Amino acid sequence: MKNAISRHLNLLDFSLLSLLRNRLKNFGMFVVFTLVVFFLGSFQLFTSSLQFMSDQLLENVPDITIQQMSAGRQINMNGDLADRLSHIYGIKSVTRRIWGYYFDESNGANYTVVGVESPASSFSHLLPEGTDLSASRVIMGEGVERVRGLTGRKAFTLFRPDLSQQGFEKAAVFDPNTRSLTSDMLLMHMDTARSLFGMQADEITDLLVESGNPAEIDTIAKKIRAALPGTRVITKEQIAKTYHGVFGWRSGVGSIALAGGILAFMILAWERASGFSREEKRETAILRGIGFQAADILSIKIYETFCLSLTAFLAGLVLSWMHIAFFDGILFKPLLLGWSVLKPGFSIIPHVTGNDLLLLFCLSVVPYWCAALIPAWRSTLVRADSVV
Amino acid sequence: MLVNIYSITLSLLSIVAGFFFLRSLIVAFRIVRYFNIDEDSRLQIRLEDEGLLSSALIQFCCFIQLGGTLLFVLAADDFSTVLAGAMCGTGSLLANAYGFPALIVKLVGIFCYGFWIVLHRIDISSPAFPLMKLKHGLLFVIFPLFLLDTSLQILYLANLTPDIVTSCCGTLFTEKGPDGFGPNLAFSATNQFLLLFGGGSLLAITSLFLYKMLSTGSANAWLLRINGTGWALYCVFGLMAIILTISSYVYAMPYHNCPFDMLKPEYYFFGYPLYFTFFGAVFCGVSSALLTWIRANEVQSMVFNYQRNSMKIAFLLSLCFMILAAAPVFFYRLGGTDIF
Amino acid sequence: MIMIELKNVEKQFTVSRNEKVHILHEISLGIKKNQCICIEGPSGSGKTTLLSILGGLYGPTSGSASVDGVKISRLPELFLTRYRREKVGFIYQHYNLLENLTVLQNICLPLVPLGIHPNEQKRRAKRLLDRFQLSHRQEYQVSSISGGEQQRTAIARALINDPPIVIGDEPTAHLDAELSHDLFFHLSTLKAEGKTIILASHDPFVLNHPLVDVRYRMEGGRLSQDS
Repeated sequence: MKNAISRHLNLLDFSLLSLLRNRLKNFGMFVVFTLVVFFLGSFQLFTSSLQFMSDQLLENVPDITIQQMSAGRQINMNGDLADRLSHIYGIKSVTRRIWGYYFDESNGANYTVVGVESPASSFSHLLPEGTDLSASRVIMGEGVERVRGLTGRKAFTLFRPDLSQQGFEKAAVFDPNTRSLTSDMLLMHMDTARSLFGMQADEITDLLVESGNPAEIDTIAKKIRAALPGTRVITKEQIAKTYHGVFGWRSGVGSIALAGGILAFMILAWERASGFSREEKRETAILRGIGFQAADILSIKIYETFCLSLTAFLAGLVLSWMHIAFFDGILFKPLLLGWSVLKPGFSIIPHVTGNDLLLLFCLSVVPYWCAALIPAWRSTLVRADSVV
Repeated sequence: MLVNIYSITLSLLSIVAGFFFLRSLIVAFRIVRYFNIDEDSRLQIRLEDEGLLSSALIQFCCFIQLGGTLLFVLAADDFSTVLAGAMCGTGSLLANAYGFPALIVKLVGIFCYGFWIVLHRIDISSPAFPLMKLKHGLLFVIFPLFLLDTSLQILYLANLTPDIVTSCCGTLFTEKGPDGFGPNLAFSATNQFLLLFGGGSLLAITSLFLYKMLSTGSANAWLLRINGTGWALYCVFGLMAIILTISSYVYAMPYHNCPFDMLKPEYYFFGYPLYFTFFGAVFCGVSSALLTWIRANEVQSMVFNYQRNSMKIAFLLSLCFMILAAAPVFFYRLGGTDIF
Repeated sequence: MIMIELKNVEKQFTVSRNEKVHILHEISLGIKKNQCICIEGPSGSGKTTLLSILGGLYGPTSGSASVDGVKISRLPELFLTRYRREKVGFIYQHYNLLENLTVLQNICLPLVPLGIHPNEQKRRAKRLLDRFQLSHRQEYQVSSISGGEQQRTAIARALINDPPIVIGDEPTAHLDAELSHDLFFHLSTLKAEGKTIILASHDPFVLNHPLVDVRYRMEGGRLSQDS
């Protein structure tokens, strides 16, 4: 047993040596392999991060969202409409909300501005206990704090539509763990938000309805549609379906395309491994002549592929992580374009699980081994006496 | 058809394994037909080489199937987020009639590959290669199993549609006893504990006994065979006991019996050592019994060595297994809390 | 005491489907331990084939070959390899060194599949490097050293796992007179160490060298003993 281990260590040594000897040939393969892992990994990381983020988003979506429509576009609505829902049985609470986007020209950033009546609304679980939102105090996301350079300061101003300035005071910052949801958010009192957007005293953008019983959501939605004609009533399930529909389909198509890529890659690996030269043939025969078993030579070849593929795998993985973490998956954005409608200007937070890694491994390293194995296997059939 | 990265990977792995298998079947066919150790033809020399290397392919196949099975279970777990009604891997596998048969065939397949590798190791210990034709003939028996495995997997994946409402482990293994653990049938929790630990101890002791016998001289082939049969039965009943009773204690939830959840990080991968020790012990027990039918003189000492070592390993692994299986029960009953 | 024994060894090679070449005819040969024998004969007479059988590169078509009582004539490749790496040091006519490895790496090569630790490998190689005056060349690539040095590297590689049998196929074919003398100096020390040496050559220098105990003549695949 001990001898077997030290023998294989020696063989590993030898295969590393021969990788270095054939530097040029192996480097090309390394680059291609890294690229394959990079694309595959970016894709998998991208989709799984989006999945993760969409799950987080959905957790914070109210059961039913009501928006006023006019000429097919969303417009502001009157807060009084909430009272017309009070008779519907099964509604636990109706919350008024202002939800809008503020474009900060000074640094080109887009903030999500959320105005609520009290912090105890749908964002209560994201906030520190007893946060006060009176006057012009705001709770901001990490991203906003960074972009505005507010780490040391508290006061800042934003422009109203008429270009007059409105002062704000930083009350708190959201927990960084909720980044995907809150990074670009400014949470403030409804009146503050109205003042910022120059809205009328009673205006809001949407009504959020929580139901007591999840099974009743559809019925309640139907009743709301009857009670408030001219509004759009969106249930949580509809949003979830849109997310997953767009997303699952696109990722399925994407992975089929990638499977094609892997196939091409396998063919390449096969070609590389099977075109073994006279020089290699001679080397195999010499090694067998001085006492290497066929299995030893196969081991050497396997270790070579193993080392090459593993380093390439790691390199590709790191690159793809960087691609997602620092460049927001630039290369895949067009594929999942529909997504950006749901949350404009978002940035992706990489989310890796062990399953993702296993999958990536099975899709890149294993096929490569397989493609390289049979040619390697054939090359060990060279007999020792062929160099005599 | 569920098109996602898991189903594509699984199919890819099957294709690759099938390719290797077919390649070694070609070699196997030639060996069964032409192999003759006393001849010195070019063909014979080539066959000797190819026979050695086809075993490398089968070993690789075994490796792929092992990974594939693990991935299959993980995939089932992942599908449970998409399938209505499925809360864990069990639910996903129950989504159509092919899920569980596929898993069982996969496990049997791994056992067969493993045994094949043992045969191969024993065979190449003698220059006469006495088992060469036997082991390559065996490939033709294993191959249908592999085909069955692949087709069940394809059928399972193809018939998986998110609209079908499936049940879950809670409904599959219902009918609980008064204390909530284990079904209230003749197969009660007490009986299961008896079977799992009593049967396990009995087998461990007989294995140890056989090890002693093999170390001092020889053991009766029939004793090994009876022991092997015991291990095979233990595999079935032990697995039932793990699913029906032990798992509830692992999760500390009477109605949660998923055999796969314990493989997840939430339970500190508890399932991996548990299943490894369990299947490892069973493999050692059954394979050494099967080897009693190997009669070739040239390899008797090697067979003997294998049996002796595997009896020792079976004893040690079953001991570890029983400790692992008892731990959650022990913690729950005595500490009043769950183990995790 | 007979160490290596060949009885009625025949070797045929299949050239094509129904064309066979008969290389060795009924060869019987006994070699004692610590003997130095030399086989002479023109090229194509079957010397290399005979050495290959003795060196365990392949088995004979019929007849038996045994070394130290172990039959090597009907061993499958798997076991022949074991014989090669434990019993035989083979010095090939063309050296068969790996050109893009260094001298040291080439010499250590036979120890790799034996599972010997690299430090121990180097330790053993060092002794041989000193003995064959190669120490100053150890980090050189084989392709960049001279023919004589290559030959000494090949000998060192053949000796690294201390085999009881050393086989040399035309060892002086690429050497000038001075290097041939050197070679025989090394061979005589090997013989003094108790190794059995088998040479094949048609070089008169080898044939007439006093180190050689027994001379055989090979012609048309048949072996006969010279005086």
